[in-house]
Amino acid sequence: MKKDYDKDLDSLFKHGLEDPDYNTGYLEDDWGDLEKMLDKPVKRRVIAFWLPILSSAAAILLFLGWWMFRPQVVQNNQQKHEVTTIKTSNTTGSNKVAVNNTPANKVNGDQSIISNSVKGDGVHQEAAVKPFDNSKKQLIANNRPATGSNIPATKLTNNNGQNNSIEVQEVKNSITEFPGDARSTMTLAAVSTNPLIKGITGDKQFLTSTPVESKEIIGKPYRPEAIKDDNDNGLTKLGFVKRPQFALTVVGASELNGANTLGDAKSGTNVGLLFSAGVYNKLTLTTGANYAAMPYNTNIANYHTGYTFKTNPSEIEADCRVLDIPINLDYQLYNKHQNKFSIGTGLSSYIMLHESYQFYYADPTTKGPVAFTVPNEGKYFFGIMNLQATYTRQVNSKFGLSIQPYMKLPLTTIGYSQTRLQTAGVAVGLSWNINSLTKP
Amino acid sequence: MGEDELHQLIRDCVKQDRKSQKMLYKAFYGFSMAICLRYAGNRDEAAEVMNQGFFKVFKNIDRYDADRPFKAWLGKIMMNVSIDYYRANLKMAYTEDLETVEHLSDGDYTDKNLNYNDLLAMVQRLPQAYRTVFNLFAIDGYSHDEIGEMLNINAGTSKSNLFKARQKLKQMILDADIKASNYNGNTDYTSTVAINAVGIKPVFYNNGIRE
Repeated sequence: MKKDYDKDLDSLFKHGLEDPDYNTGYLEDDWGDLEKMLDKPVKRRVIAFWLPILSSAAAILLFLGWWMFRPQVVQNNQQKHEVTTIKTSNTTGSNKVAVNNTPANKVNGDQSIISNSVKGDGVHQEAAVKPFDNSKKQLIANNRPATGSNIPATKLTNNNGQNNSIEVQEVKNSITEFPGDARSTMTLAAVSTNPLIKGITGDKQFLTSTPVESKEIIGKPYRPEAIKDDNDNGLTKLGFVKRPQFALTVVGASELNGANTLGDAKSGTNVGLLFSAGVYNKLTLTTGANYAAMPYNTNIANYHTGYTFKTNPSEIEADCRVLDIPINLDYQLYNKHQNKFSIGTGLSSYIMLHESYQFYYADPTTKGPVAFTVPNEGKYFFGIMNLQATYTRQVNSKFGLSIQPYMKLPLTTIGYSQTRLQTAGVAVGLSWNINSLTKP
Repeated sequence: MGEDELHQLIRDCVKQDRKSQKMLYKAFYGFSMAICLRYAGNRDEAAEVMNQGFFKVFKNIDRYDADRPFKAWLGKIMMNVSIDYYRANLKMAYTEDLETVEHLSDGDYTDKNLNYNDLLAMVQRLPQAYRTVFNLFAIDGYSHDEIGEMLNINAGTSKSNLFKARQKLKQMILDADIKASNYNGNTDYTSTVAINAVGIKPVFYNNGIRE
């Protein structure tokens, strides 16, 4: 009997509510609202239209960045120079400067002398330097203050085991071109070769703008990795930054997401906090966490599920909220005048915070599931490869602004539907240089 | 509106002719609004959902099969957008525990004199999850399995929600009965007749003859 009562109840509402004459309720405002919806351009098409333009802009930006900020290419780096020995001898009573720049010293025209200002008595100190095997060839000359009878006699010979020979140490170009951090480099001055050497008269002629204690070089084998830093008590390995540079960056990004392709991409957003550490002279390691809203469109071919649809949806809209944990390595191509440009790559791990799908059918009357929310969030470690180019403008010693076009390419499938999710976007960041608050 | 006139209107709508779209909108406004009102909590919500439905109609009207009744096609779309709306707002939807629903004794519901507005108000007062299942099962005739598939819930949840919806509706009907009976059955009043004493003439039945 209970069933009958329920049926009666259902019947009461069915007949009472079914197909009423509701014509009297028409409101012109409702049509106005619909008209606005109809006039609104389809957002997705706009994105698809802008996608090639955005991609082209990112590519041009990358190319220009590379072109403008590319490092000076070393030419003639294959050309080896013969060993040149610079000998400093204590010639008592003879105030003369002997410069013997033999033809064997195949020094290019643009080469220069690196002079070390020698302090001390200069008793039989010898330095031998092999000219560098690059275009910025330099000779190291002792420039010592002459006192009384101690007049330096500099002899440049093509020394190959002669009596004045000392150890020969090859100095690579890599140690002479350290932009920026002078503390980690040997300070070398560049001057032209012969005229200045010939012009050395009298008691002293400094050819260097920044003298270096010669005792660090002269009289012992030259070890570039063991040059003592003026401002440091210890030894600094050349090529490494003296102090690690730490920075915190708040980033926000607008990005496009698509399954397998960005052709039918949907726009998403991304905000996060990143921590950067300079691990090498030009290399920076970055990690952190980004919260990303990643909606995207897909189709049944890219939607892998155990569920069998009676009628396949023509379109599937996914809404994913992801915690993106990147580990990126950036290489700095340029750093001058408060402008930095770097490129980098790395891996991202996705921790899915929310994942839901909406199903749309070609025939709107199709009976089938309209939505599905994935109950368990997945974790996808190192499943995404990051590619990025970053331009940073240092506002002051503490803060910098950055803009970063990036791409995220799938290495593994992501999400319940096992989608190969691609992302491209542009991030804007505000960096805080932590080191600026600490004393060196 | 005749069949030919309707099909001509639809053909014009395929061309995205705005005037024809408005005519079609006006012609089926009442029918569509009635469906959306059943699924929605109020008229504003229903109008929003209905417009979403018409938006889909106008964007997909080229897919309409002219051999099938237009009203059925339109009705399905309105129902689907109502379900979409339910899905989108599920987290915000008010839900009530089963324990709070009292089991009510059944009565005869066939003789209830409830009009459209009364019934609609009752359905709209149901929590959204119950209302959606009740609409799909009791009025639109879907099975619990079908409802489970459409709403991404299992059939047991659908049955449970239907039970709760019915219990609430029965309570509402009972309340409406009590209210009506209070209004109609309040008869123990005292009739009063106003007598204007000024207009009363003393009548002497003995013709003025004094004893």
